[in-house]
Amino acid sequence: MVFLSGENINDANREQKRTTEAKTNEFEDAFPELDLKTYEAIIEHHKSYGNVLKELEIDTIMDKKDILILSGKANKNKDTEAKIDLRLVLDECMGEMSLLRELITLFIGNCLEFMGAAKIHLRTEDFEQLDLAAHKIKAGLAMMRTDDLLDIVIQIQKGCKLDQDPKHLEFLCKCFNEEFPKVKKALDNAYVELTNN
Amino acid sequence: MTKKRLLLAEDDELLASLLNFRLKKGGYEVNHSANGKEVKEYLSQNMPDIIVSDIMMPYFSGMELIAYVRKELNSQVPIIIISSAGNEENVLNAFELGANDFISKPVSPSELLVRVARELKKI
Repeated sequence: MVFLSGENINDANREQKRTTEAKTNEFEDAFPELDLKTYEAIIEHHKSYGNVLKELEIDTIMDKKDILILSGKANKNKDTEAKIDLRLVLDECMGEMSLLRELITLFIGNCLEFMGAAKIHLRTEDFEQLDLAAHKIKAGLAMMRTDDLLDIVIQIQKGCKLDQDPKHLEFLCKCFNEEFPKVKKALDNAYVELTNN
Repeated sequence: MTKKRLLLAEDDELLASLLNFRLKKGGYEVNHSANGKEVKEYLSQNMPDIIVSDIMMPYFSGMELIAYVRKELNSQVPIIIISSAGNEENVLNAFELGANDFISKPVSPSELLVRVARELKKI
């Protein structure tokens, strides 16, 4: 069991223990496949060392999507790398490989521009501009079917509009920056695969 | 047969490249502008047969474009708006200002071609 600490619980905090157990059960029911790495990442994210479950309220502390992103990230670390199917995009390009190559180049440029802009907007805590930068890149991410990056950007926009927590947004941007090289590699592989076929 | 002239106002280069290509393949003479200033300059001298415009554009938004075309230029040229998903309020405002149709991002080029042809048929 990941969530139970070995601390002694005396009579005075029996009520606290019951609450903690209830929250643990709630957490595990909601995310049955959450692994240790992901759990640790959540703790890291909230800088809540110690018994985080005392404070844990799933709906308010962390959106389920965040956990799925983290979960996906943890699972990817274990085995697979990002995979992208460019055949649908090529269909939209009417089979023109040169156009597809151009779109990939523009896409990579847009991602790099977003990463740079995000860094600046995070530093100045300009969430409106960060939201706008995320909005601008979203259509391209959807168009190129890079779902992992799209999920992160949707969360960034949500974070900019709702809680405006700099730590949370920094974390999400870090996720984007870490995911991008994998996506870029996957795009290159998918393009080579199409060229060979 | 002369080609129908289409003004594509879209600041997202990625989307614009794809749409430009598909619209040209679809038989249209496409003029692409990436910002509102260019759009305004173009419209002050030329009137296309149809306009396809993103709502969020630098310098001159899609909303301003619709108002400019309908009120200042007094033109009823068909205008199709490209909007982001979940931006229903903007779409409603666009219709109130005089937009003829809208299409949500991510834009399917085939769907846009159908919508463009449908609007041109109405003229």
